[in-house]
Amino acid sequence: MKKIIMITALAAALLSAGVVGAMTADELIDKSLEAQGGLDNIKAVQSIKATGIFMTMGMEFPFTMTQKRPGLMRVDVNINGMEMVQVWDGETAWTINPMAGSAEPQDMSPVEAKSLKTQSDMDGMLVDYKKKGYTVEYIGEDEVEGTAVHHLKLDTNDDLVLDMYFDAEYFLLIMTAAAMTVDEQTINTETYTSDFKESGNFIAAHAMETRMGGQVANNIVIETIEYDIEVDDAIFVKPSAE
Amino acid sequence: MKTWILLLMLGTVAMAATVAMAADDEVVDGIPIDSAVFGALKARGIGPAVMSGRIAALDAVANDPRIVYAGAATGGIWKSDDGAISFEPVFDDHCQAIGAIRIDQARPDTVWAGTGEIWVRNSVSVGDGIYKTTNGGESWQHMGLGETERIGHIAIDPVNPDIVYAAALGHLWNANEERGLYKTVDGGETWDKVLYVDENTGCSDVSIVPGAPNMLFASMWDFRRSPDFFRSGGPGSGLYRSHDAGKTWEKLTNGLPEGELGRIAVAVSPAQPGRIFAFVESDDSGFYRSDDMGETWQRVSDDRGVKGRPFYFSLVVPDPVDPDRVYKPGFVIWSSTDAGENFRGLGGWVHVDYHALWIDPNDPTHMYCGNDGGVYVTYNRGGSWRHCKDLPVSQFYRIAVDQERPFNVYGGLQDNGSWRGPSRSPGGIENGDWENMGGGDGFCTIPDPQDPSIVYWEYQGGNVSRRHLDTGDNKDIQPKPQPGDPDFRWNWNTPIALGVEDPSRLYLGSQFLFRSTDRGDSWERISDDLTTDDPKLQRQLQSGGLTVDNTTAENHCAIYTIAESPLDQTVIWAGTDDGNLQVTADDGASWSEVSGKMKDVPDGTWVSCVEPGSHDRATAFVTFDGHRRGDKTPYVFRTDDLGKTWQPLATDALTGHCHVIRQDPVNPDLLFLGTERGLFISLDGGKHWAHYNEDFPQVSVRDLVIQTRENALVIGTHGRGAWIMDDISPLRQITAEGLAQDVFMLDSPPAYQTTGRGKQHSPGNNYFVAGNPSRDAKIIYFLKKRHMFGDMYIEIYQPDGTFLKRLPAGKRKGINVVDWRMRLKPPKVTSAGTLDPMVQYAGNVGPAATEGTYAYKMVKGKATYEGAIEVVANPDSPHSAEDRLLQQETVMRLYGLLEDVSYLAEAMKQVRDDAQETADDLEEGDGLAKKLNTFADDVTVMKGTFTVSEDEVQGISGERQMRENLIRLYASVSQYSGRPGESQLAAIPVYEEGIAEVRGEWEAFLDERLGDLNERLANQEIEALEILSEEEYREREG
Repeated sequence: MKKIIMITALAAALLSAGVVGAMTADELIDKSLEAQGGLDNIKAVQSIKATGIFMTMGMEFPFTMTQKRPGLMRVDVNINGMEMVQVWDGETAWTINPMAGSAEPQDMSPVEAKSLKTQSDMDGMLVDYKKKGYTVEYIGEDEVEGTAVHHLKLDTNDDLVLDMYFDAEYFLLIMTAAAMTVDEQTINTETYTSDFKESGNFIAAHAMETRMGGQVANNIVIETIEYDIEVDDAIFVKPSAE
Repeated sequence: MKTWILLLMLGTVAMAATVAMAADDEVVDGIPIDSAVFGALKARGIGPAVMSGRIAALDAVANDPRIVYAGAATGGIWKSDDGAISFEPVFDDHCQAIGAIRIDQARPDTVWAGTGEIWVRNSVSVGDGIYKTTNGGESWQHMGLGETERIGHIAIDPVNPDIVYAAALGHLWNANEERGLYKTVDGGETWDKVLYVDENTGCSDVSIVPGAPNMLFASMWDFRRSPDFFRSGGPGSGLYRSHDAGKTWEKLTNGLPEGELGRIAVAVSPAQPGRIFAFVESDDSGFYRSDDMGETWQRVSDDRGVKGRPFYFSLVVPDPVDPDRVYKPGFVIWSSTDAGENFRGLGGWVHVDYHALWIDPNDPTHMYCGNDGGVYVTYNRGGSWRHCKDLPVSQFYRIAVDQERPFNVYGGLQDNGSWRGPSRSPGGIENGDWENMGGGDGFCTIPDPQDPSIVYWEYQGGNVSRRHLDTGDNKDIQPKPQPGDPDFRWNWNTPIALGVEDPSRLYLGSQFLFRSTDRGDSWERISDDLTTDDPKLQRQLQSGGLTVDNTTAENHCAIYTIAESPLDQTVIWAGTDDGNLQVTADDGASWSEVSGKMKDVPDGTWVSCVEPGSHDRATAFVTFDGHRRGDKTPYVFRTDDLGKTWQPLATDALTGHCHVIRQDPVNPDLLFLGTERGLFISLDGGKHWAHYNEDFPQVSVRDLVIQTRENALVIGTHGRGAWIMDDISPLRQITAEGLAQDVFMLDSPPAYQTTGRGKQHSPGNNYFVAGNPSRDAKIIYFLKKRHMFGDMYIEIYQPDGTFLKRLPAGKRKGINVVDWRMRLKPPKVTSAGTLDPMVQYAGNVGPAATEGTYAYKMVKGKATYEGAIEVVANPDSPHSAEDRLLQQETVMRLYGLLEDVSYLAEAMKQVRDDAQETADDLEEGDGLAKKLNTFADDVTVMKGTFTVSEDEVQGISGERQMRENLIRLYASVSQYSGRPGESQLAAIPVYEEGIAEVRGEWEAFLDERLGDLNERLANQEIEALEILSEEEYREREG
């Protein structure tokens, strides 16, 4: 009994924000980075390779995502036996999309490029946000699907504003919302993250659900994550036209 | 790091354990719930928006008039940023009664909203103060004045926008000091009451002189309403002016009427300094103008139209540019071009009853208006208008359903007649799906259960009719007093009811209860006067105060709610608007008045609803609504002995005065309650209530009905149209023990395949369409907490036990509903350059899962939970079991053939591409390269005999070979749930043969050519060409 009480007290101390109260943006960010695994561990990672399944409209497509410092990212999705590729090479975003009829690499649109660029930030947008030119604002306590959260707004100051919601008990990010404007039309996108599991030195989400305009657009399940594997820079280089 | 996390988890577990231990000590009585329990159980709003609804306030951004905020009288705040083409609700977490909206034009992301209806007719709602947004409506903060009940005008200092004036009308039905003109200088943090007369007089208007913001005008209004009477006007009313930003005030009288004044509208002209317009109610109301900053006034018009209903139409809007133009929105928009001396009504095919008008200061021919039909836009000063069809702010009074498939929803609307709309429609429920049943103010609209072509409907004051939809015939069936009878007193919202056991029993209530068994052709009076018949409560003929206004809206001392017990038709209940609750247990021979048995309810409190129990003839539930006498307390009671004794069911969780209560016919503990603040649900007979408000606005819920066949709850709101909670069966299953578990699995309702119909039309964005209910199978469960750690997913198994599919699980706190589309994997139809919808269908929609039991397993972390879904025959299916079975087998046969032929096409394509690539890597002229290319070409030719080659066709060729035809056959047979056509069945053996032929040729070809080719490749140490295996192909997705 004594042991349980001690652990309980310790947990209560660690979970001191169990008494949910207002906090500054930096406090929230610090807590969320701690909850993920800590800033030191985050910054120590040199490369990540994740595999999983992308589910949409009743179909499932296996994918692999590879990231390498500084800010290189490549996603390979197997669609009907064809490989679709999207890459952020540090400066531009290019894609090979056999579904669009061609095996030639194409440049992605500025909106897509921006999205891919933010995803390729291996540390996550909150790490060193000031250096990146972002501004953050703690909005307050809120609820997401009945669960208490802390709401943080992040403005990239480059036409992308994210609303981030952190579970009030665990400080893990459970939802990110953005209003994306494409062709004068604004679509509200929400990504819900869950299935947090130990992964290397981290607690990482292994399931994501994206909703657009309130309807489920796709689900992602992460199956494996490897850290600090060898990655050949060549895979990020846009192949020259044939 | 790892150990820290472990500690964290241990700590949580330990804490949970101690909490659980504590819980065991107390015995939980009932089922305590909060709003989060309802989880993913959604209701969908079905409109109607075709006639939209009452708009009370409007404002737009002067520098970008595409941005408009519309305040519906009881339907919340809606924002458009595309010039009123489409709107989004932005105030759903708050009170839905809107009185005023004011944009800070210097910083248009800051907008002020005053709540509470200010056009104070009998049906108005209440507000709870003033709100402000600083982010364009994304979120709002409450800034005070919570007890003012209604705020009608807000004025912002043009120089310092932190200075804001709020005109609070105040309590409508009782004396109260929280009224008058309030002022803040710190952006709403604190308020001072700067103009106050007395507890009966509110501030009805405020206007700042734009060039001299220390100068303001404000009008004060002495008024009171009671259930049977309304008084506009009294000693407190008057027009005031301040020179010093509200510190001191003087009452203006020079040129204004003497004696008592009523409601006054005042507006400073932005176009000419010193010019002020006012509309003043007195015993000789008129339109006034001052040209000397309010020192002296002239009466410039006493136009009869302009003077109509001055308590209700009291708004003056001067043109921002032309000093001689001024508008008075009323029954129509009255427009003057000579500074108020003469008016004419604006035209256009528009609704009447205007309460809001915004004129573009940069182009005054461009205006937005708000009336009882919604929001309109004009670009020619009101010559013609475009209606916004995307605002579902209809105000239902009563609601009913029928038993058609799909069922229809019926109801009467404030100022918009009676309507019927479907619960489901191809392409969604849209404006055109709603049918008008009758005009005026609509109330009860009830279909005859024995003849769906007959609808009973009414317009205000008991004017009840029977309409024959097939012929259009309409019969007035209101019973008229015979010689010797007293006048019949009909409540403005007269109740009509039907017997349950015997629906040919039709009831109608004046002060007497009438029953007809011949559809209203003749009536029997089955009671004496059930009301108090108190002459002090029957002043409606004199109602109005300074201006008589008798529209039957204040009719009083009449029956308001009638219900016959579903278990014993001799038990009939009737509740009256003057507080009598009467019950008979001998079919009307004798009646008992039982409201006195409830001590906590003040005498004479209006009975809003009586609902006989559906499980016991002696049970009934009743709600009382005292708001029309200033009492907003929620009153809910239950009796189990025909009214001899009563238990109060209201708890602190309830807010808003109560309108309606319903008991679930399946689970007697499941209760639904509609109040002025929305929908409340109890799972334990009223011991605990929770507000259903996560995605449902806090709008007045006036009526509820349960469609028992569909297990649907239909919600009639006053301000946001009708809503349907499509499946309430999960609520019936929740127990206290279940809520205490981490995971509580609930039963899935039986599911069946349906064939949807689409609709091909593109009406643009200025159009409201509601979604249809999901027809998917559902896996339903309750989670005590949001799922955070570990895997969570659902696996579905076929009736024969094989694994079918994995679904992402719902992770949220409360009830989760996971949809399963009941389809198997689509066949592999490799993409072709085609727009053929059949091919799209075949590739995306798998075969329908056949009837049977589908087990499922939900994995959550280390735990597994099991259940099953029954897929049953569609009850509406006209096809025999034999035909359905044949269809299902045929689909699977075609499915197999499709996979075969697609495999062959893919295998050929792959080896052909490999050969070409290998050839490209060799040196030009190399003999082997030539052989490879020849091989590739031959494969291409072979492939071309049975399938269109996607990579050789640019554009849309429309060409079809065997494979394309097979795809179309598969799609055709899949899309019809009955017996396939004879020619379709006959075609199958032909395809089987054809494919066998292709396969034979292919294998022969490979035998002949591949071995040799690969040997040559091996000699040059080049990788052999491989043939895609069938297993590998089948394992691929899509």
